[in-house]
Amino acid sequence: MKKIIRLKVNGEIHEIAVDPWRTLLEVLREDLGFTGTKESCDLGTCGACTVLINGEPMLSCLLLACEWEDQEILTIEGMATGGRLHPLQESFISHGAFQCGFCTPGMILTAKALLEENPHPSEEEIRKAISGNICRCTGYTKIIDAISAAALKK
Amino acid sequence: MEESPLKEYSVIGKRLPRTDAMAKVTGEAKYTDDLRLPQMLIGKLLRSPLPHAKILHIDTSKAERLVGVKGVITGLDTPRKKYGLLMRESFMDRYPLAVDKVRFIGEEVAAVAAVDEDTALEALDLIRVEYRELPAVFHPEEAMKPGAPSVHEGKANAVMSRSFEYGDAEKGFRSSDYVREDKFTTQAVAHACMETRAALSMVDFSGKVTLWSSTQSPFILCRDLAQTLNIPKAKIRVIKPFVGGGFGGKMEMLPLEFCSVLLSIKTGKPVRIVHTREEEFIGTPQRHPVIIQLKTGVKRDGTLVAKECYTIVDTGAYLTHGPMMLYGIYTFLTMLYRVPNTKFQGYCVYTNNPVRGAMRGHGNPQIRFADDSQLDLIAKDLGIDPVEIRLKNAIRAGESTPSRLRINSCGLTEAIERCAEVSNWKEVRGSLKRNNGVGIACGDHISGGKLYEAYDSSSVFLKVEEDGKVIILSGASDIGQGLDSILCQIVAEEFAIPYEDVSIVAADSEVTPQDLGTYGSRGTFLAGNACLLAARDAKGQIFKTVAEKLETTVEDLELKNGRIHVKGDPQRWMSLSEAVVACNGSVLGRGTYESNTEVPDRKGQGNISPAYSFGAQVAEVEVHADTGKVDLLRVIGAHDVGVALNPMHIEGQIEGSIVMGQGQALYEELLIRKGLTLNPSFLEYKVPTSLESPQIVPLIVETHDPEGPYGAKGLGESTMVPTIAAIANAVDHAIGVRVKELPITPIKISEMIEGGISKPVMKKIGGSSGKEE
Amino acid sequence: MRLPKFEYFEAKTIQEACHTLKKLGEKARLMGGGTDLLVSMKQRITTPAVVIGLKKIPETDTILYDSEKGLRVGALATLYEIERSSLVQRNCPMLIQAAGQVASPALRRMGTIGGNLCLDSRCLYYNQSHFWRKSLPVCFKQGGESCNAVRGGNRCYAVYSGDLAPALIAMEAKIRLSDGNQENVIPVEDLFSGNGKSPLTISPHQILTDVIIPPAHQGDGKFLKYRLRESIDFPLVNVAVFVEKAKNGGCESGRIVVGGIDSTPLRMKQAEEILRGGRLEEDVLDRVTKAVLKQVHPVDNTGGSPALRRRMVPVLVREALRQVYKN
Repeated sequence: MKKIIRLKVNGEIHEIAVDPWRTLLEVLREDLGFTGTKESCDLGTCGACTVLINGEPMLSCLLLACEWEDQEILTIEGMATGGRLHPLQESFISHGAFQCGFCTPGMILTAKALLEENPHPSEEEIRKAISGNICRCTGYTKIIDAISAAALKK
Repeated sequence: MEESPLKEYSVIGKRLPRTDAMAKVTGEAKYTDDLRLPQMLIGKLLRSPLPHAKILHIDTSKAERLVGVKGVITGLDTPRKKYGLLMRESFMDRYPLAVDKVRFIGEEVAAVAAVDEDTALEALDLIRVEYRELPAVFHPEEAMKPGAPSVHEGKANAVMSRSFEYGDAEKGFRSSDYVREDKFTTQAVAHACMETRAALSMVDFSGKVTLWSSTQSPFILCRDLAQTLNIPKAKIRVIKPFVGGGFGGKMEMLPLEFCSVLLSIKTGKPVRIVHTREEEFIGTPQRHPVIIQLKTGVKRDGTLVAKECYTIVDTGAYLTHGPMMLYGIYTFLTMLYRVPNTKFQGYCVYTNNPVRGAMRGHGNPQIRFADDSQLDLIAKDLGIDPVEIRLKNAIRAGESTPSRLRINSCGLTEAIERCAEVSNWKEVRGSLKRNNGVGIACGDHISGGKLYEAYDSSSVFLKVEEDGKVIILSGASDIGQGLDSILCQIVAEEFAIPYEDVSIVAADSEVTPQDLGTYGSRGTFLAGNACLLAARDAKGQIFKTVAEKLETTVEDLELKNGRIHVKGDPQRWMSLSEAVVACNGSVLGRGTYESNTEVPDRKGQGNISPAYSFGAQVAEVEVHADTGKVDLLRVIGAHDVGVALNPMHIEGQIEGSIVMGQGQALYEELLIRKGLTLNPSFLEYKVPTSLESPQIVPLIVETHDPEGPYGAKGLGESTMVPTIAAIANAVDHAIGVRVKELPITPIKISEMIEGGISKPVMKKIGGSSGKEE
Repeated sequence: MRLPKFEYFEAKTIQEACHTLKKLGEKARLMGGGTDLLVSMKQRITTPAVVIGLKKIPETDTILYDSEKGLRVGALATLYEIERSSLVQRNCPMLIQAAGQVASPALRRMGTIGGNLCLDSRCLYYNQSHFWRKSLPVCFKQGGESCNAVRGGNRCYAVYSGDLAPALIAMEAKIRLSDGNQENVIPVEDLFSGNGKSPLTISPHQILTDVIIPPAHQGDGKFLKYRLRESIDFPLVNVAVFVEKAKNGGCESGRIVVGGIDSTPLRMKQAEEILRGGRLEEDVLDRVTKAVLKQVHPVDNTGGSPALRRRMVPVLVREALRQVYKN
């Protein structure tokens, strides 16, 4: 039976009726139109569906939407603010840290969480932080460079 | 097409960000599964759980009656027309929805469209299929034996064979000082693109079809839909949105696209079908596993004399790209190092395994693994340095090959030398820590070729607008490699306008002129040249008008900084904008580039591609003898790209390829038992993560190809060709263990360390001074 | 993959959760982080009519330390909270070694210690989708009469693949179970039945509420995990060693636990006996590894070669002991 829930996504509250078996990924993409969060494996093994909840990276394909009311959910659409890209987004662009772009939203959000917790991560720490985000195109090199550079800029 | 190598470019050669950069980092980029249409239905596919069976009966009645189900189709609801890679009967072996028989686990037998995904899934469970199971065959060598179950009636399982010869291999072996023979096997591998296949169709009342698909080639998809649906191509519009990776796996039509369109026709509503990750592993083509028996004869000093190659390619249940593998393996084997005498025998074999198709390099990574591994073994046997033996035999520009390829530009020697230098090869080879090793391998690939049609071309329209900006209309498919951006860079340079003033509309079969797609590393070369031709056409028109207005001749004009000047008279000029206004407000340039190449003949000869790329990689590893694990520490990759149109793109291709190669060398394997894929998930199919990937040093070699746009050549596949062999060679250097079956897993290393080094079959002729293994 | 339809019940207290569990029996499943349960449900391995969410029950994720009783970790503490906890870092570093290697960084924010302990056993032929499993006979773990991994096998060989259990058993940790009225505390070791089909002894209406790890005193431990990749993967093998060192530098007592091989974490009691009272010398290590190998019989059901997993057990045991004694 559908329940009305309040999801706070990128600072805005959305009230929607959802069935309990809907994942946060499905609700974000299908009900709220946040298609930036991607479905790739849907079983928690690739990181493409990563969102930040209260600043922590989590895999939205394995979260029930109804369990995350009134939490701060950040999707890729919320990274740029006031029409300006976040420094990580700019760094990804200038370093060529994406090719097909499908893993990119999850990757950028994971990087954001890392830099908030650890403003000056070593290369090893960056590799560990993104180790749950699979990229098939870039070989990770420029992603690591982009995150490093964004950290230095802060 | 050649530009002076000394000319200073303002856009070409710069590390410019991609034109789609903002869309991708903000989540605005729309991939097929992100698209929504009003009243859109969700489609799902029913797949066979059996590897080989006759379909006796399919009862869809319960599914049709389920509330929310709008359409159900089986093979009997289709025009029952087969399709294949080439429009030739021998290639067209597959129904887009199985009609009488299934040939692999996962083959599509029915499809439903419903109001939502839950209902569609429920409907699938209500479809009853009655099968009569047939004996199946899973090993290609078994499939070739008489009496083996026949995968396709009326055709031998060894459905295609090719023999090629050049010179006299037997004589060559007799005159060799040293001959070595080894057997290598490679595994089935998945593309594992982050975006799974997706299709969204819409059919309007007049019967006009629009399909959005995660495809590498809208035009080939359009061709296949027309063929299988009996609808004229002109009534089918295929659009490629953003695509999340392809690597060759999205070259061909698959049942989901066909079913999406047919269900849309049937229901009158848009239908979206998206593969789950499991369907992606099982139901999309895999890389061909290959058995290679390779025999090579050399002179005492390491000069290659003869090669003989026998190969069996497991093409799975349907042919698709199988035959290209045979030609490809032979050509790639014989175009990298100078080999005066060659003999080749190859078989492409049907089995009841999942379908195998094109994947990055298409036969090249496999044969390169075998050939470059063996070259290292020969070097070891003869006491020759692996870099030296490669320098000695490396093909050079101007030389021809057994396949009669014309090597117009070749940076192979330079690539080897640069890798050796940066890796400090001489010093490091003799002085590494225990269990550390360094290995080298080389690679090559084509830049397009006449693989699908008798022509290999690309067409572009350029619209030069009143505000002095240019819009490119190109059929070429950017699947993440950055082709859209490169084309914009080329056009910006040609018009001497800022990169930001060029935009592109691409890969829409109705709106953009034809380009056959992204395969064979053809994008930059073919579409880039087409852009140059179109730009020159547009400029020609503009210059003609300006010459009239400025009362001068076309030859006296030049275009710089958005202005058309009279040469030597800076006061006389018109802005590009004014010039376009003078041309009635819009200029349309057109260009079609057709590469001057040949379709190979039955002897495997013919210059198939307008240019060839080369490269070398040095891999540094540490092998943990106790755990059998191989840490890939660093890879130096030097690649001849002709000219680096955008160094950032090139580095990205090198880096991505190396990690994909690492995956195939050490981690990835589709585990298939009796046709069933045991690991159809990112959990169990081991794509390297950021904790496995190495340090990478990408090096760019420029050779200024005479035919390439600004001298550039294709890249995306040659960068992956050397990696596997470089790693295998490094492992051997580290611990004296030579693994000849991919992937090089910890158990193989552990068991070989324990059991001693494996012995090859070798023959020495003429009292060679080579070392015994 | 879509989840099957279900009703969701948000428990406010342990009592409420237990009461609902008892009332609904087989039709209900508990959900902590959901990282194991939801995957199983997407694959239609389990399709409960009701999912009982535990996240809103207060004080189920607290981490406390007491020098007498030791470390107490609420069952719903996430693996990431455990990794970051200074209490755990100071008093139980081996738990962090284990928790920090589970899955991937995002999954560790979601997965809980209780959930990891109660992981269902795994098999390459079982942990697959509804469609995939149609290609093979219904196996023991699904309620059938054969094994798809071991030809002619007469029991379920599904492997217990959790990382925390071996570490906790080696530290002689206990768990508190509640049925809403009564609580009992049992050694972690007793949570496992040894039966691949139903690997846990926890009764259908009990909830695991806390994990209690006694103070280390003179003890030190090491947890090692062997897998092909350094992230995402379940263990092919894991080993936990915890040793109370004697004053002469030898071993007074200790536990060696091996996971990823059998349907339960394996206590290497014979090897522990060899270690006890002795010094860590080469011949002792030889006898320890021989004893360990006798108990280790993996089958080909986790995607990693059984021969490899068997080889790695003594390698990891040796290395773990070496590292413990290095400190």
